[in-house]
Amino acid sequence: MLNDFEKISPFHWRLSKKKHRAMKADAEIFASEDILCQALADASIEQVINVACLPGLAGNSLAMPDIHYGYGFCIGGVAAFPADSGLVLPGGVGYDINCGVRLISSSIPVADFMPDAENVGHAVLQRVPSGLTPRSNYRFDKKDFQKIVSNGAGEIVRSFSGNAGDLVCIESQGCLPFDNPGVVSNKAYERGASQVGSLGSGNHFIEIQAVEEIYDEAAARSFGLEKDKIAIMIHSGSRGFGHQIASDYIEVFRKKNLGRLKLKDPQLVHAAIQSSEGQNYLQALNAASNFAWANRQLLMEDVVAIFERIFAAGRGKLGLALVYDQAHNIAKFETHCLDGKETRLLVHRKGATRAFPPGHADVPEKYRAVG
Amino acid sequence: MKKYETFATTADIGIRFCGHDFAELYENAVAGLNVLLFGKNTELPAEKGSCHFSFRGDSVENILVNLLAEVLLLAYQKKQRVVSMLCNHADGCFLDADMRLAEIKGEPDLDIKAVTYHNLHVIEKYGIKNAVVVFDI
Repeated sequence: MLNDFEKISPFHWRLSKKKHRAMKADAEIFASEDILCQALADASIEQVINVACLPGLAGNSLAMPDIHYGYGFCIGGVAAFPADSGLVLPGGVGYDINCGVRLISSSIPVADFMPDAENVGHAVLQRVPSGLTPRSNYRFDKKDFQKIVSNGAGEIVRSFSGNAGDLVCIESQGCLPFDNPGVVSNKAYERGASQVGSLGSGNHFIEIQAVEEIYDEAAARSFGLEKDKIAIMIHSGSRGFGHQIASDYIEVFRKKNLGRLKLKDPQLVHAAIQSSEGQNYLQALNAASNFAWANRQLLMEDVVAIFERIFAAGRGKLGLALVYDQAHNIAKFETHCLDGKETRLLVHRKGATRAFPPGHADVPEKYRAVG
Repeated sequence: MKKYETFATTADIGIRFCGHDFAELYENAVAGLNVLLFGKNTELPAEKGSCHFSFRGDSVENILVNLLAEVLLLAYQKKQRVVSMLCNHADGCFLDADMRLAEIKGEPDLDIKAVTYHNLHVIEKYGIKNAVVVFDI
């Protein structure tokens, strides 16, 4: 099947819709030949093709270099639909809505950190619930939980006297519009309320890292990263709250489309963006996204508090600052140039992130020169 | 043939199970999920209470996803384990069952977050219904 792909560059491949009768758009893979061969072996290319068979796709069905087999969409998959006439797919986001990563810089030299590395590790394990201890140390009543899912990371900054400057370093400032609590099931509220401030399991982590090598001096300087200094990375998502919302809406969309959709993969069930079901899912997705941003903000506050205690200094002196927080499981409305026309699209990214060049308006001002 | 077995890949966990009829298929699905949640050799805890599960779905796959999601909800949110399930009525579109429950001490062995439709097809072979369910972890 490799021969069916047109090699546009060593890292960019295209499968024409002419190669497959049901494809309505081309499939484009951004990967080396080795990665493409792996993707062909694990059937993830078949998933990119399945997405290319969906009606109304804006542009092509895309896959990024992390391409691997997922549920419905492959991981690394990106697909956009016109906001006014397109589709929304829970499978295009994944169960862990707004799973994402944040990076925190520090001015702590690795050499100064190492004698306390074990203390920090133990303190993090003790303070941050993870894995099979799903319940958080924090208790939020229904009213406070509603504020979290409405206001996202900003709610944690306000409640825990965090750094308001962090918010500009979070995709969408850590909040998407949510004003309809009725679209989220009680099951989801029940699962989510006890999990704000917990890390989760699977591949989620809090890592204390060392900056070993700088490849781009200007970018590193702009991000506040220095060689041989400590950095912290947090990977987590919307916990049971997002999973329940995804499960709930897969069922809603399934019921709505019963007998009408002929899908090769039931995880690709979808609804029109403008339908009431589609609108409700997008609202619920925003709530889960806000949960995840708030959760990563709270996890960061916990880690910062540990560093402040162990190194007996404030966050300013330790240089602890959020570099950036980015979602990799999300669907958002964005304006892109399509066939020479500015078009509002709903962009699904699953295991994929947006990336903007220098000068882009959505890059925080302090990073705008480097992108 | 085994009533159920569990499997794990790098990213997923799941169960394969079978049944001579729908009732046995659903019961074995719950038994397989119990093994993932609580291990195979654990002593069955004493029953404490029961609950009723009734679901009309569009297909046997739809019923399986909702039945197993209910078992997960009981385990993680209500701290209850389904010790046994008695089907009052079971077919490809409807399940009505009574579940006997026991209290869970501590946490389940695994953090299973969702039941998926991924590659879920109930296939009948030689009069036996076979299925595979993959869970998101």
